[in-house]
Amino acid sequence: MPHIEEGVFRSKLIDRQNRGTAMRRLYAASFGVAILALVLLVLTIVNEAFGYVALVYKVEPETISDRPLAELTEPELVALLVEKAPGQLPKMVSDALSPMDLQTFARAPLGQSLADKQVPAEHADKAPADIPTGERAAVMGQILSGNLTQEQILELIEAAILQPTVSESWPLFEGLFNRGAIEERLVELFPDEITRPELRFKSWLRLEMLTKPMDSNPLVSGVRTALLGTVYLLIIVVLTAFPVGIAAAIYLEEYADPNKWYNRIIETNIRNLAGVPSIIYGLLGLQLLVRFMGDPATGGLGITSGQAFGIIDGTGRNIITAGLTLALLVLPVVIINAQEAIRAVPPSYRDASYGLGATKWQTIWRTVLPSALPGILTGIILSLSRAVGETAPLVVVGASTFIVQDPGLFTRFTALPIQIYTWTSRPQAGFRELAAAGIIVLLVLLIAINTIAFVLRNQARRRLQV
Amino acid sequence: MEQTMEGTSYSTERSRLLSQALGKHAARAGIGKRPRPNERLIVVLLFAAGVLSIFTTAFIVLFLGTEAVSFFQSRAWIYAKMLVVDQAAAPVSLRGDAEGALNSTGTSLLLDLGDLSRVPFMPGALIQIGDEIMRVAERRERSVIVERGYLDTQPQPHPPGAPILTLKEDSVRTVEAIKEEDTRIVLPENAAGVFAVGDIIHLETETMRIAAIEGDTLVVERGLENTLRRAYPANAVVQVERRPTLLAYLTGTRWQPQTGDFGVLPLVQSTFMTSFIAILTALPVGLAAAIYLSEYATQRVRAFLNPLLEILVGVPTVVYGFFALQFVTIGVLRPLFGVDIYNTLSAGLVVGIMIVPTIASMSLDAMGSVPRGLREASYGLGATKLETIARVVLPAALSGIVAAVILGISRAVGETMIVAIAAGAGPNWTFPPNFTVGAETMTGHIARISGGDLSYQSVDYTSIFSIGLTLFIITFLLTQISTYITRRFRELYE
Repeated sequence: MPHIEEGVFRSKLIDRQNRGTAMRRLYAASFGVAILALVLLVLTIVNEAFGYVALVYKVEPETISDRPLAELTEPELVALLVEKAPGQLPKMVSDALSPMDLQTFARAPLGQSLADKQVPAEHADKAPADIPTGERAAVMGQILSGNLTQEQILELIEAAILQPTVSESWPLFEGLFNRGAIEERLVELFPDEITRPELRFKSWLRLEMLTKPMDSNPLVSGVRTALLGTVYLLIIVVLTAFPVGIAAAIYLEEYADPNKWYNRIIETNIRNLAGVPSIIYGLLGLQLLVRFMGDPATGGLGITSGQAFGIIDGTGRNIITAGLTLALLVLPVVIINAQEAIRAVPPSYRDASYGLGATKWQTIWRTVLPSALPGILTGIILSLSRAVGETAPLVVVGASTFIVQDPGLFTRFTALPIQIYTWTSRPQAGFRELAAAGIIVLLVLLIAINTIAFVLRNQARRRLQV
Repeated sequence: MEQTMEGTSYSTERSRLLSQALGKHAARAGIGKRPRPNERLIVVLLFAAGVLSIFTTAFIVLFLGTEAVSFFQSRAWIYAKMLVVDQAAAPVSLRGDAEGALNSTGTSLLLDLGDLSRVPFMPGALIQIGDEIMRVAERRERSVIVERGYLDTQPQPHPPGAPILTLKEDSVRTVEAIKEEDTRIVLPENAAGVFAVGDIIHLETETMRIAAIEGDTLVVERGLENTLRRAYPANAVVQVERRPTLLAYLTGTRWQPQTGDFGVLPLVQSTFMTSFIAILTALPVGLAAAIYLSEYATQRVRAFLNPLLEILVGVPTVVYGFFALQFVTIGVLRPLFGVDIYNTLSAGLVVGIMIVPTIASMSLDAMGSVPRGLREASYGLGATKLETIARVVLPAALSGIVAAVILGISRAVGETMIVAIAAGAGPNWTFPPNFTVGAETMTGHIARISGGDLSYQSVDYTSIFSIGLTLFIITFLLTQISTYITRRFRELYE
């Protein structure tokens, strides 16, 4: 380009290069957006899962004791329980100390039902039902104070007598940085200084969440039933989708003749299925598994609802139908990933196996599959993670929103994401925060699954290298 | 199955060769004796696993199809409505002076409000002066703007001081008692206009068909569809049948199947509104991320950034939904723009974040398959890296990027939980589209309606399948287009 002067070219070149650098930074900034989104996501969850609450008590703590409850000793606290809630004591003892349910506990001798606990010797051979009504509460109180710490008894008093409910709740950062506004709001809500509740820090994420069932009071509600539901769902998906998925992948990669029309159809079909929205799978599960194979009372076959196996009160909207729906949902992903893993095994491995005289199946079973295992496991992690977080199909097949009893195979069920969804959409104070705590449990579960799979994959890889 | 045949002959051949080569040692080595699973059976089992996916598709199509068909055969019974003069409304008239007169074209009514302090008609209300019915378009302080000659009435001049009647909708009720053998139903004045010959009507549970209309009297065929002929007292409510038609389904702007509104457009509209916002968010971010990963990033940077995208994929959508509601709506959009608590904007933005990895990874593939030679030719001509990307790599990868965008839209259309939580409950048709108010999408509607025990015979049950079919067709077409484009693109450089 002789007609362009050297100086003009230079200055334009610098412009062009500057533009290049600027755009490069802009491209890199896209990851800034992604990171920012993730950070904000985590902060939002933390912000909601911990925070400040104003608790309103059904019975004010000041009215039952002159001194602050936290300063009282165990016997003094138990005396309060015996005085204010005598009828509830046997249930407290049974729940806190005995593995039996309340009915059995009431009829069994104390020495037996509380075998490894401290029981007053004179009552060891009596069942709670045998103790005269007047004395029963006192005996139960004696057992409680002998076996529980002061903190545990305080919790019992809170649940049985004080019965706190959340009047208002504030997220963490608002509580930390905008305390004044909250105090003002509190004054506005409760003009009377005597009854005004104290602002308290509250961690909605509690360890007891894992063992406590759902409750309509967000303060004590747990995720036990939802967590169990999710674990059952995972087991069903692992037991059904993975064998079938890996089998289909082996067929397509090792046996199928790609020139045959039916094999081509299977292949295309799997790819199309991977793009079908999850809620459509929900509709499939609803019609096929819940309606047609479900409850005979509504014209089903009774297979998935258990009537075919003699279970009378089974419903079609249960763990099995939901698990199978999820299995169908993740199947294409499992197949596609397993196919890729099998394809990646070098042909020389197969040739070597044939050369040693192995049959085709022996080659697949002993050479191809072990070498493809790390890849297959990766696919399984992906699809398991997807199954754990999947909500829409569960909503459609009819997950329940409130389950207190541990789910069985043929009973109504719920799952973690369903709980999060329900709690998110409830307007009362405390449920939004509970949803955030549930999300943390869900994310921890996801991280755990991924870690386990990561370790398994590395082990499989290492074994191959030896 | 030929493979198996080969396998069998191969294994007979193999044992012959083995015994030939090793003689008696073959037996000692135990090679020939090792129990062999029946390989043919194994292949059949593996094949069955593959075929299962066909059944999945077949059942999806079958169920969506049959239930959608029964949706279009379903019927809703709605109360037949007629306009009546609202006797309880406060008396209002045209102003008594000369200015109050109304010619046959004027649209501004000057009112004499009597004791009232403000105009009692809401926009959309129907009023009647003389024989003419008008629709209130706008409410002013002491006047209203109307649309003249409504409901086939003729615009006429009206004198000053003419009384204005407020009209309201009321259920059509029979005037006289009906005996078992009667075939004539007498209706109040003007009510017969609501019906047409051939309409199917209900009195309580009895189905009837209108054979003829004579003035204010319906001549009906009674006791159709094996319903019982019975006697009814006067003032019985007449219900009329509404069936969804394909035309009403595809063009109607109200969705309320129980009360005879079968237009799916509000749901489709909000689905595309959220998807539009989503793609607007995801395309720049995803494409920039792909360009950075493909053209600039070193191995080490990639090893750090790739997992980041994987984490975005791994976050459950219900968590994204929580984020959309709690942070994007309540934390940002509401304080800044005063949007409704449920809105399509926030749902769309977060769906966009969700599909960033989809768009990034597909665009990355597309750019990765642009041959090195093209880039080097561009550098050889003195282009900078940016110029090479903008003028060579991106145009060459364009079809792949388009495919990525289409697949991204398909993902966004099918996404459920984010929109179910953040976009709002209740279908809402807005024109022009309003992104700041709540509107239920197709997926969100299915999720809300199916929560709880739906009766399998209800119109709700069949309606979610017809929406499901619509959704399935839309996503299927999008996926097919995307696959088609990807395939064509690949052929270019092979």
